[in-house]
Amino acid sequence: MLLHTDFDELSRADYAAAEYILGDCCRKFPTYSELSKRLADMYGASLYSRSTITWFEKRCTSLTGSVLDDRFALNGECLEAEMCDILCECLLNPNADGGSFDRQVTELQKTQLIDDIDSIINEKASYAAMRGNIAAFRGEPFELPITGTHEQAEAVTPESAYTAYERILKTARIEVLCAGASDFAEAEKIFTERLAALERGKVCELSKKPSALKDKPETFADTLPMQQAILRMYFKAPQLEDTYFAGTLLASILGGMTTSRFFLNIREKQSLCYYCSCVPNRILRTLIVYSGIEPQNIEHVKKAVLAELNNICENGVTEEELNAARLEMHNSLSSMNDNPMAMMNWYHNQIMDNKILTPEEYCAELDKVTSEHIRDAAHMYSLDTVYTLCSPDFNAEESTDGEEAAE
Amino acid sequence: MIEKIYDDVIKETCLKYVHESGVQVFMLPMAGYSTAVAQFSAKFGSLDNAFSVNGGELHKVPDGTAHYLEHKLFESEEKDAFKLFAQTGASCNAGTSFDYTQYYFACADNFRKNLEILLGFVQEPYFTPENVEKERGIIGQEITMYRDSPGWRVFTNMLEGLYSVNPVRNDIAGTVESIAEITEKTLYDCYNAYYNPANMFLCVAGNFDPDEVVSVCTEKLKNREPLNVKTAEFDEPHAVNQKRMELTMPVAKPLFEVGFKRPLVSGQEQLDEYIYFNILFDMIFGNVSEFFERMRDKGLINEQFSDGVFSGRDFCFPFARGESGDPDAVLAEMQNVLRTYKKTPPKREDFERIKRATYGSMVRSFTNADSVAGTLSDSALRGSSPFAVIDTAAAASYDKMIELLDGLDEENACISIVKGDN
Repeated sequence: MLLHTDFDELSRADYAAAEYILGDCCRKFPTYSELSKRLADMYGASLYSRSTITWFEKRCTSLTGSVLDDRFALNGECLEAEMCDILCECLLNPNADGGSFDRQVTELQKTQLIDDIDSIINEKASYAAMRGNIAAFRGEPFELPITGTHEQAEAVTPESAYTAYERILKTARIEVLCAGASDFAEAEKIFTERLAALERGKVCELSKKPSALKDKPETFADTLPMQQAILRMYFKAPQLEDTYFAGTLLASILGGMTTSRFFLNIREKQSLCYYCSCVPNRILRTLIVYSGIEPQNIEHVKKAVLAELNNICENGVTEEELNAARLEMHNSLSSMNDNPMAMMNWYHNQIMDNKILTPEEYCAELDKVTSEHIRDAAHMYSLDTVYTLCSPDFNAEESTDGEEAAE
Repeated sequence: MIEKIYDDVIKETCLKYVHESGVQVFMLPMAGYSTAVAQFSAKFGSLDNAFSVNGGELHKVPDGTAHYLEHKLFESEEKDAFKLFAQTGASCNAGTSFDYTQYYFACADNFRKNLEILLGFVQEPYFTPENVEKERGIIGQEITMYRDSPGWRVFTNMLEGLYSVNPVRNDIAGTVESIAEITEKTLYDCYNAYYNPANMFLCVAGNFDPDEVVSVCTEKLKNREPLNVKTAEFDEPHAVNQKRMELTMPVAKPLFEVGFKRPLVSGQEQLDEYIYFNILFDMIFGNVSEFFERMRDKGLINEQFSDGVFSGRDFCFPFARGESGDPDAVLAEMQNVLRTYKKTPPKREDFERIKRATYGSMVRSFTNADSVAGTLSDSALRGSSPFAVIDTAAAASYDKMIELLDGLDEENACISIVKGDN
């Protein structure tokens, strides 16, 4: 179940706490332990909630259940129906009373939320992504982590989290996605009946907005005691069409596969890094390059990344590269049929599109892309932000162009 | 000749045959799936750091050699394997573990061609002083990346604390210093010893035709003279090397990992330990346990807490990991819980609950070509039936679990902690 809501005056942490609580228990199973026992009885089913920022400028609360197919139940249990019922219980009948979540549950989830916010520093690549986003998406929804800050989480109360929950129920655009070996007739019946009882207000409207390009590229740097440095380069192309298939192939050829230019030229030929890849976002119209490198190679890798992009701007790509990228995408999209979560993400990301494409239709569009299209797409990308994270020992002696990232 | 191995628990059939070269082939076709996954593996990992061939002298190799070899095998005199796979669209990669090295691809089309490429490049090493030297910097950077990961460091430190001489205590990728000693000769020596067909296996799962696999194997697998390769044995003491390991790194809350050292066992005995300790630890420490709820309410653990069993050739032990402001208190309480349950055994009803969840997770692992191929590879490595894990889980008995609980020495444990410098 995906619930899209607007950002409002309540803190991100209030919403995040509400989401944590919804995935942890409900009136029927008032503690995490009781819910976990029931899920274990259902052959180790899983249920979790998560907050994300959607590409559609909104926050998204997801409540996901995963359960064994009924045909494997040893005693003929209807596991699918029970999982749908538990999901509805968690969303519609939480462990709450009189406009407030249960205090003990809230305290536990608040602690968990604070731990999760703080622990991002444990994984350097995630920490670099968070800090890089602050610099690259200033003033946009993607600027800050969806779970909020440590301080916001400290201020969460059972009442403030419950208010966030009420707004989710009242205003969320709700999408229910099911995937797996079932016709989901029973699931459809349960969700339709249970969600029909909701009292609704003005429902959140989704929108698509590309990330704004800065007037000139900006550079930010942070330090942490670490051995490897991390470089993130944000390119933006607000004028690119969001269904521009050439953008997808450009990203593959630059840094999305094991024969990409970044892999072959920056890692293999020049031995400048262990990894250098990029990921495109068709709605934000961004291309984010990320690399793990020795600190003394930061400038070399920056130059090498720009040189590869410039090279495509000037010369386009070869037929061999284009074919490899197409084949790789075909393979990856065809494999999606075997992965229920990937299928759900695929269709969810298209809910705002005029025409929903199947993986096969998408592949057919990729086949129409030419080297010229890719060169045109490459021309549209401009460097927006450069972010580096590396050891303070290195920065103090070597770096000349860093400044502190904006808080 | 192809042998059919049918499993009554999940109603699946695995096909097994042994190619004349000695390569064992396991196949599990999955109707209705789009993807096929093939994994070609050599029983050569970081544990194999000293060996003899046909009773000859002992060769010592630097730590990180198996991993270095894996990196270099993708390269050939003409076109590297990545470029060949790029012509088919398959995704390919490789991985080195403590006891094996694996090369694999996943594809939705061109299965035959991809299998030809996989079997081809793994059997055609091309190591030169230049290309070996070129890789040193890349691997050095991979090593430093892992050294920056508190999650990896807390795990490897625990292994160092648990074991005194077992090479599982050494990092799979080695160190920047140890890989400096690796030459093309080191790689060829190890390749010739451990990449002998009799020491290798191929596992395929998903959407493919088994006859095609047999046909490609016939065409591509090379016969080589069988070798008697012996990895040096070691005499690991029963007691842990260190009871406590501590490291300071930038982390928000201390990370910890606790391992309970076990005597070395193998075969079905090890499989039993793997399944029963998984069930036992889930039952008494997992998110359904009284321990979990109590410790979480006290703020001593959070939802990151998890448990499991780490096993492979020459090692098998139960562990728990998580984040805590006071990891030592968590370990003390775990030891208390183990002592208490030895006196008053856990409820049968709780055992049945976790046994059922374990069955569910095993069944789920058979609904994905990647994980099925992984399960086949694990069993080939262990020398057990492809369904041995699921069958052992389905037949697990309460009494046997209690027997293993009684034999667990809760004091013979190591706690590894990574804490912040604040």
